[in-house]
Amino acid sequence: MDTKDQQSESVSPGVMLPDTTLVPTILTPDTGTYPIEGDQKKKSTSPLQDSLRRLRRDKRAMVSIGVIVFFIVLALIGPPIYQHVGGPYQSSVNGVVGPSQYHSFSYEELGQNTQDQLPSAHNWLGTDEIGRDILARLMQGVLISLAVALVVELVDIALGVLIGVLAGYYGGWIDQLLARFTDLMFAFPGLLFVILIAGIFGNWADIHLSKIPVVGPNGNARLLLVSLALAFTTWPLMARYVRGQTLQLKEQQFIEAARSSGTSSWGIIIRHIIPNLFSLVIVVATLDISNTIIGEAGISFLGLGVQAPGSSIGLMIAAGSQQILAGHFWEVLVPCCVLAAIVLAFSFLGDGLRDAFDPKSKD
Amino acid sequence: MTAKLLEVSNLKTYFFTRSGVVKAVDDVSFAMQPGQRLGVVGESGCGKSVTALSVMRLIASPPGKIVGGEINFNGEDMLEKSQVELTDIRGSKISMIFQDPMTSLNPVFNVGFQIAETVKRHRKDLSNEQAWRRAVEMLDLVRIPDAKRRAKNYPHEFSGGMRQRVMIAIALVCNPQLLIADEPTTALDVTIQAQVLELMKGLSHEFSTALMLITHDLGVVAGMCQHVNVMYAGHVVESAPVQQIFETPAHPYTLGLLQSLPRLNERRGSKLTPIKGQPPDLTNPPASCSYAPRCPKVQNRCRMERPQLMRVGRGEQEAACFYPN
Amino acid sequence: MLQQVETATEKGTTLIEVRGLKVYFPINKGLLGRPANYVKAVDGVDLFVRRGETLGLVGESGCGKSTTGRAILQLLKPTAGSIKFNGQELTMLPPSYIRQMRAEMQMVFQDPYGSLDPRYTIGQIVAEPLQNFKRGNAQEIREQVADLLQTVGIDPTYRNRFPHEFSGGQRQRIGIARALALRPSFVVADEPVSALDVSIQAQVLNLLQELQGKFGLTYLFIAHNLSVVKHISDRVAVMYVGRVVELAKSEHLYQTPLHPYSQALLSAIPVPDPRIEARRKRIILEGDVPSPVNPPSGCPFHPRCWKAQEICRTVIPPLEEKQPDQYAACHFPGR
Repeated sequence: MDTKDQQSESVSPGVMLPDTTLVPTILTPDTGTYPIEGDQKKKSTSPLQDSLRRLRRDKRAMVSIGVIVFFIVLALIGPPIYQHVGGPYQSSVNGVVGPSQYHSFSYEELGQNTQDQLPSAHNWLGTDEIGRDILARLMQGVLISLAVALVVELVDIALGVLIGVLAGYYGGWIDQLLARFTDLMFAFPGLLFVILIAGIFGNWADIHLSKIPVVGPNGNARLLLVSLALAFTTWPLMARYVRGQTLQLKEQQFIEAARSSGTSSWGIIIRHIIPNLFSLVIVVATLDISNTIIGEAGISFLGLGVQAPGSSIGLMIAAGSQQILAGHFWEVLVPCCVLAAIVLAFSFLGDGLRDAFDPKSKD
Repeated sequence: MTAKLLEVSNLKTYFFTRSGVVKAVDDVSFAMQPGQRLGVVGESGCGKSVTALSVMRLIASPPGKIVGGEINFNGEDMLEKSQVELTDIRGSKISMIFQDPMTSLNPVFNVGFQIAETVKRHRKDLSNEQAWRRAVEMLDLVRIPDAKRRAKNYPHEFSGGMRQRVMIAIALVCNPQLLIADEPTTALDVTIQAQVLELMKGLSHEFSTALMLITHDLGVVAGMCQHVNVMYAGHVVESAPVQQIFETPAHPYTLGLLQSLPRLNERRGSKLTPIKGQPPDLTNPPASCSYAPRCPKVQNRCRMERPQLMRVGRGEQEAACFYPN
Repeated sequence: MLQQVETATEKGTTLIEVRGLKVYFPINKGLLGRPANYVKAVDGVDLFVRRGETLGLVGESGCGKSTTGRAILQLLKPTAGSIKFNGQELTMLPPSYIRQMRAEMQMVFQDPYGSLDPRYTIGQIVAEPLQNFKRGNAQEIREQVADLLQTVGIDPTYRNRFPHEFSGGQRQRIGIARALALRPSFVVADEPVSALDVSIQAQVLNLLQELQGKFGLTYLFIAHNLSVVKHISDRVAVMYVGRVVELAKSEHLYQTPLHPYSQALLSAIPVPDPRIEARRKRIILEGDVPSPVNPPSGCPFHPRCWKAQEICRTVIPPLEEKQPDQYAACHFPGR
């Protein structure tokens, strides 16, 4: 490097590492003459590609990605596959049923040896207290969790970035509004708010939101309500982070340079600020997903989210925990482990992303 | 013939990183006499700071490691010392000050406390009051006005120049034999720089403290130092008394540096003669002279072997060049 | 205030004229929104820059030189004063006109790392001003970019590389290419070489001089290093705590500095020549550079000035011509 970069040259005791990542790959000679042939051996990498490369080296993050992908695949293509596995089955209660029925998440069978079963060839993860297939319910539950997480994060990112950038860049009343609002949300327990919303508006949602085409009358309306409520409580934090980063970016000289080049304020926001927010937003969103999933599970656990016959990990835990006294640990163990696995995976992935995008912040 | 205060022989400090081994200091040898003021000049990446940190044994390990050479301070081998012994030496026998005083000073303690702390660490026989009095004495010595009152102030209440003086006070309070100053005035305004440098020179003289002044500014070196080491790509390329460095530079890099400086007394419209090319890559130093790619006088031999420091002329001047001026 | 000294022939060649420029930043907003205090970054600055020349602007931290440069380019809004570009008053212009003026006045920034958006290739970075002003279609812009990179000594085939792949000196060249993209007539260079190694500084300084000759540019060269400033500038303005204290031709400033601060500044600069260093009598100033929040009354330099008298404490000395083409703001200029 040929800069005497006063900040990095200042050496604190015990911490000294020449910044080798700044070794340039391109050479120019002295002024006036045409440049010599540069060093073509290294392919040009954008900062994004560099970060992804660092991420690939993080084993814990890669395992987490594997776990998440596994669950996504499980939730999406698990049910159709599962519902084709196995032959027809003679049920004492319901007659002859095929796997498309007894391997679905809502099929109940109340009988002596159909409830609270441990894993068998018939039900790969056993059955719960009313004879429903645990694996099927699990897959549906995971699907719900991920769908909720997706909706919440989309709203979170959209609102958080929009408001955060405007607050950070323009300041003024938007900033004041955001500040007061986030203060309010921080003071008010988020989950309690969601519970209130779900409790008060649950029925209303069932009636009115079911009319929205994709949602449908199958209990998803309540789920949408919960998702929106969760999103409402998480976007202020994202907006705060984005605002902070925007304030920092605003002071950078390349922003001043863009202004000097004639770029309009809006152009600066779109071209220069938002792309540089990318890494922050991804990291915060990923870490947020953990909270969201727990939030949804919690709401459903309390009976305010997904309702039976629908399935949610929270519902499974609620039902399963009733069976502990009867000695059936399996029913609560499975959803708990899955919840833990998913949440940890997103947590570790978020950490890994943060280290990949900003290696200097590594502790 | 006085014994050497500091003797560094064939020092090698490497950093083992994922992108390769960075040979930050690659065979550096020099010596200092008691009370001598040595200037270590070079541009960023030349290894001057790493050399100083190696002497203080402050290299973060991993990824850094002193892989070879010897460092003798007062006849004792620094590389053999334990951590406990080193903490005894640092602050009382060898002190160091850095470029940015704000990160060197603890923001939550007042400056008097920080100076007194150093005193108490090394002079356990002194009481708190005595240590405090010594701290105020030092503040007075470094010309902080109203020292008694200002000893109770916190770092943020001082300007950059004054903070650097506080650093000097901390560094000198136990009367060390060697003070290493790494770019101590680079971040300061030029009139403040003049004040601080004059102070350092005066104190060094008064207390016979040897001074190793690390900087990229040749002007500072010209005014402060008796002897100069010029570093490039991890080793010393020229070592000479200050007069000779400026009047008869032997190594082409030294000459190049001097020619690329704008001077106050030059004629209007004169063009600078820059050094062509870029600073070297420290992860893959070639076996040749490290300056060869940029040297206007490069010959075949320069591209094949690395020159060692050799005596030039009849004085104390040494240069690592096969074809010195 | 600065007196009009320009002769009839010179009058037409003044490109930039600044009078009474003040830039105050409010701090500590009270409850009613009324600021309790101001940072008086620029506190009454007069200068003028002739077409084709380089005016150096030098001073220590807090003197307001960077703020002055940015105010001239309208990157900061002046609190008071007049800025004329080619006779056109800039402070009254509506934003859309200011945007048009940007094509005439550009800036080279100090930080080689922070002045280029790390997410864009250098080709895109240099193209941005051209795209903003629609200087041709995509192909034409690409050609202009290649041309600009070539001019500053960067191989145009590297247009698709990212800033982090270049060294500090190269990044500064890219910044210069960007500044020249719109073919401005006036360029403010704000500490363009301060963050570079000494050997690279010389390369970039030479480049700037070469480009000035080639494109007939007018420079305002801001720096704290007087040696560098003197080398590249025709005339130099010395600033202290928001004011211009001396304005003179480079050689005159060096040989016969009139203002005590200029003398102290020159005296403080280390010279790479041990004989001169050993001989010289240094003027060591007492105290620190005052904060622009509470500048001293009267002449801002009086607390540190060895010549200070009563009048210095009470009356702000105006910038006046004390010797032919040499201006100083001092009641007792000269040795």
